[in-house]
Amino acid sequence: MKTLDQPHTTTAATEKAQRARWLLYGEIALGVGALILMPIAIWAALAYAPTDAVQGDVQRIIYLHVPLAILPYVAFFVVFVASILYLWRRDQRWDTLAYASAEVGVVFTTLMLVTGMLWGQGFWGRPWDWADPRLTTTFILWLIYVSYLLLRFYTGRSESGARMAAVLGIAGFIDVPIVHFAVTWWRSVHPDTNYLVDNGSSALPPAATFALLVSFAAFTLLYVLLTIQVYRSLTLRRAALELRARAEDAAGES
Amino acid sequence: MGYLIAAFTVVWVGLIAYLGWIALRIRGVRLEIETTRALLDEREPGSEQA
Repeated sequence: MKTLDQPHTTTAATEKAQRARWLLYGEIALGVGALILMPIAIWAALAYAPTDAVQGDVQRIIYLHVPLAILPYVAFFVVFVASILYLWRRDQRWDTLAYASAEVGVVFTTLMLVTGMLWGQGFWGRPWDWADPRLTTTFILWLIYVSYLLLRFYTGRSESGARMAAVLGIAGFIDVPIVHFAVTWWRSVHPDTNYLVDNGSSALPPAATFALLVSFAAFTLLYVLLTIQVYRSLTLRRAALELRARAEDAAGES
Repeated sequence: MGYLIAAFTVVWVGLIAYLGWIALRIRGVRLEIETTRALLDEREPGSEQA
């Protein structure tokens, strides 16, 4: 029996080591890509893109605000799918992915709200308008996923906590299409997507489109890189807790 | 111009600080794992294979 098990265990260990090596290469590629794109994105936004005739330089905040507004949709969609898969398969890896993506999504949403307020103060003369449906539904979205993180924090590593968080991660996603369509369903001072896209092509000048695309690529790489890092920290945290429990058991026995 | 500079500073400094904080979190947990493993090995010799 031992002679049959030995090669099987060795193959599994080799496969695990290979996966870890590919993940490391992927992370290095993502990190290098983000490091290259970040200065290009800043240069394109501040120097290459043309100055808006109506809003002036403050309009350049668009190159931060739009990618930071789209990526939380992606992050919370990942939470939504991973939460469904966790409830279906009961595999902790899906739960960890949902947790990691929610954390990064909240960071991006926070930065999106801050850049929006700075843009609003610079152009409208006020940072916030509670009567605006896009702003209010986005704030609700932020509150939903901050609640998700608080729930994770206070329920620890319990299975019931993970289940409750998965339900919140699925239900909370309902707000994403509401945020997106708020500008078309209700009267809003916030610009709609026609500001960016007109009849399927870019409504912005070519240089501005380039700046927006480079910025979007840089933030996308950062989102993936950050999610992998948070996923790793959560996996290690679980391993540390399991080890600590074993150490406490060993201390109790001796 | 002030709002533009503030926005770029908040976003890029914020993201880099967040990345640094995650790196510190990972380092802290790795250190905790190593310490616990050493402690466990003292109590259960040969447990690192488990």
